[in-house]
Amino acid sequence: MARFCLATWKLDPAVAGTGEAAEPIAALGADTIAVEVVNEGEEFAVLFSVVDRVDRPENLECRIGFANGTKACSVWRDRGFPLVDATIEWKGDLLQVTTPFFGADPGTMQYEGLFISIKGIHFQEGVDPKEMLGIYYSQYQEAPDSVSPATIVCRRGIKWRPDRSKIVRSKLESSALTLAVTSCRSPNLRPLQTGAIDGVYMWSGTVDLSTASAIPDAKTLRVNRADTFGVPAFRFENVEVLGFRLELSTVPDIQRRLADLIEPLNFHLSEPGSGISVPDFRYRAATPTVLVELLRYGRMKLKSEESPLTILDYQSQHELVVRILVGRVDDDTAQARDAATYVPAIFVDNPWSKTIGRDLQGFAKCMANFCTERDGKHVPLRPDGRFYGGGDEVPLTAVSRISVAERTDGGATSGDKAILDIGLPPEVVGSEDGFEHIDLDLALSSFALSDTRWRQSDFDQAEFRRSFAGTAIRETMRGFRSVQVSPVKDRGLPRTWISGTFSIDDDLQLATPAGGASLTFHCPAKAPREWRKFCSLLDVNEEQPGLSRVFVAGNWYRLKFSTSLTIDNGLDWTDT
Amino acid sequence: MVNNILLYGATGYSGRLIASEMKLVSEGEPGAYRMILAGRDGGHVRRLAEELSMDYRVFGLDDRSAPARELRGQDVVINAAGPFARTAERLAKVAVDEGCHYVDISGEADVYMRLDDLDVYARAREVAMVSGAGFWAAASDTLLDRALQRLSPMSELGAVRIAMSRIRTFSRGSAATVWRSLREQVTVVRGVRTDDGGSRLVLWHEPVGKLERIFDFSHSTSRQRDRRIASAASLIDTLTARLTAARHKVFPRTIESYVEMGLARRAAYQLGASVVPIAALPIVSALVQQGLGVLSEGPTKDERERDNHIILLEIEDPYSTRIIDWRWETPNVYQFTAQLAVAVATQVARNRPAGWLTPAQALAPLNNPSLTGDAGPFRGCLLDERNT
Repeated sequence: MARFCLATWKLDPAVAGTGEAAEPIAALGADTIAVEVVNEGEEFAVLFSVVDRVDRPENLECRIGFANGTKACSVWRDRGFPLVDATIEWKGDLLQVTTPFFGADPGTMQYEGLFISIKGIHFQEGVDPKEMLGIYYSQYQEAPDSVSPATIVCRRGIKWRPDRSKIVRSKLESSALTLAVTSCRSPNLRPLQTGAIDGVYMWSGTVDLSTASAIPDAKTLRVNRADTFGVPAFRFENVEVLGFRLELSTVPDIQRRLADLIEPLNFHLSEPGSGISVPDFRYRAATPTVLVELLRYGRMKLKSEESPLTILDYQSQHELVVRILVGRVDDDTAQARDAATYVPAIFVDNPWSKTIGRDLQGFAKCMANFCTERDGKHVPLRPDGRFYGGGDEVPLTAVSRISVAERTDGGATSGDKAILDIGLPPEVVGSEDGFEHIDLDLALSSFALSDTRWRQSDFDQAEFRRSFAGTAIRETMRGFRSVQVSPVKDRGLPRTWISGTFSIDDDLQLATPAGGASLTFHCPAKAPREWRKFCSLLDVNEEQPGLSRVFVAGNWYRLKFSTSLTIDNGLDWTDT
Repeated sequence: MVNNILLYGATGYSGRLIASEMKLVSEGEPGAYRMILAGRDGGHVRRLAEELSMDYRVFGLDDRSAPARELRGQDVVINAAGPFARTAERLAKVAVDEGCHYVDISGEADVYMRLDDLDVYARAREVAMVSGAGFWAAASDTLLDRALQRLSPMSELGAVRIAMSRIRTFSRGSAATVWRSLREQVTVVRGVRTDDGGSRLVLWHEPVGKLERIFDFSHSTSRQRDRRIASAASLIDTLTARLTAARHKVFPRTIESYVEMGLARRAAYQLGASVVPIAALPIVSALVQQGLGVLSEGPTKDERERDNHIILLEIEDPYSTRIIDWRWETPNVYQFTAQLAVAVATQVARNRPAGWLTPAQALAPLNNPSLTGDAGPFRGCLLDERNT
């Protein structure tokens, strides 16, 4: 049972709708505001909503919220609450929220600055059983449209009514609730502003989130997704990759087990009404060689200006991905086609990237800490590769541990569990030696001769051996295609494939360092299901200590490049 | 409400027959339909439109904006512009995007299989897509649908065989389609059991010439048997039959489609299949296309009236006992194509279904169980249920 504190007040004057997605509260207009803080154990959530009546609220519409429980954040986002991971600290009656944001000036995202603080929150429990609070949250569940996933989202209204009890109601005295709001462009909490608030009504008590009943709308609408960072036309600059080729051909029953790992791609075979009359194709893993890649995206930017952001704004992130090369095999052909990489497990350290990945791109992103060793301890890095508190960028090769984050705690490491330890030869850590510029257009360039992501010898099945393998080996470097399924968890909306292309610029650099590297895989109970499935391929489970795999020279690589992501629309002409 | 139906490829051989049929249908139901002719060649389209007193549009499929503009606001587009490998996917994608139902008379199996991937988008946009709404495969699909209704609730079947009598005179477009469709193997459907105990109808391939059978094309009242040899062919009829069987929740052991062939045609068919790799060479292909260009455009009116067609449907139970043995006499394939395509388009316009449909699904609201008539899409047809 969680406890809650809900405060409502009237805006004077009311705010007209701006339509700007970067201002989620003001976007559709607002004249009455509600802030609710929900707490259970060490987990907090703060929800900013518009409310129908300040003195007797019956209906809330959460426009933006923050949560420090990473799993709870994802679950409630799937239920239609636009929550974002954030560090939330509770000090007496002061609640402080820290989440990455774009400040007043164009440039890098701010990762450590305080975003908003609320003073005057009191959790109380009442004893009067007659005091009731029956509030609905009217939300929208969203997922990319199957036809135009790049530009349109399907939206279904849904009402949630959690059971509340032990209610205490009060009208606060003047200035009993105060806000400190950081000035930023995105996300912008306008019309909230720094200062004391008058005329606040407050309710507190307990809330049972597990029994929240849902009333979904029958009708699904299609709306344009002109959200900030919502149109998935991204540019990624200064991308660095540390990749490992994990050969699993000796694992017993590997084809079936890989099929299990990519099972979401074949939703059409089991889901009635998936839009395929008689399923006559399936996705299959093309090779038992799986890639484990650690990435740092130096600058993730919009391709074009999207007010209030400019193309000078950028954010960064670390990413750990498991990539499986898949192909579509039709019933009636002996050759697979449509080579693409599928990512069953992915970890990031930027909450906005997690949100977009899960909402729009079909990547089941989870929050993680990317740590380096300092003074004998694993210390998490900021998404831009610096220590919390500042300093120079730490080389990607110095990242030695990735741990799954149960809670978003900024620089702290509480509640984290290691999923991967990386051991590189000392001469590689921090070294920029060995990178070679690759000309993708030269047939006999070192790229053509290099063994990087996949090789011809990785393809051991007839359907994938010939033209498929040739195309895949060539194209997974030049501009690899990706295929995912959205929504990643149940949102009550139809599932669809999200396919896109990462087009790599001509600044690709490659290094295949000498010496052996090692990865130690761990499978903590708190790790997401997809990671645990992946670990099971290696016979690693939660009861065992981690399993180390050594990668000899040639089976691991380093890449640097810039790239753009384009999401396909299903009805584009592709035969031109 | 007036339903706008646009016919693309109106000036081709089949297109002109469909245009005439459209005129007949719209005159039979004044105010129900507004028929619009369209094609790439402005002069030809305009002349035909003037002749039939219809509106017309001129556009090609090189640039997406033109078909998008012209399909906006249309209820149904009928694509009669072959070769469909060049037109169907483009026109279908634009149609779905513009919320316009799509119907074509393609007989090309590879095109059919590419288009059915668009089902998911058609459902999302709540528009219908019907490929093979001409003689191939609407005729056999209608017959099979009718037979499976009769057999309900049987779920296990043996072989389902569809056989067509020979076509005496091909149109130039049909000949090109046959040439394009020539493969070393024939597509059939096999029922297979899956690991989880379920069943699936999967596409299978058999070498050309391996599947040949003798079919009896005679009427049940005839004293004389009319037994002819037919060879299995990769017809889209096999593909629609698979969908129709799945929709009726029946699980046949095999579905095969046959075309009657004399000795010379069988020899040419098997020889053609064996030289497919050579035929794919650009120079050979160009020579063949040149050769096809000297063929007549299609059968004359007299030939069409004289050259009726016969479709046979044989269905066996799991013990190989024949439980359906039907003979359906239809008008000439080109005339029947026009009747069926217009019927499918008008039914789609009226009922506004969504998703990928077989022609029989689109025609179901017509509710003509006898598949026989003096008027409507089945005029000139005669169903002979020989043993049921």
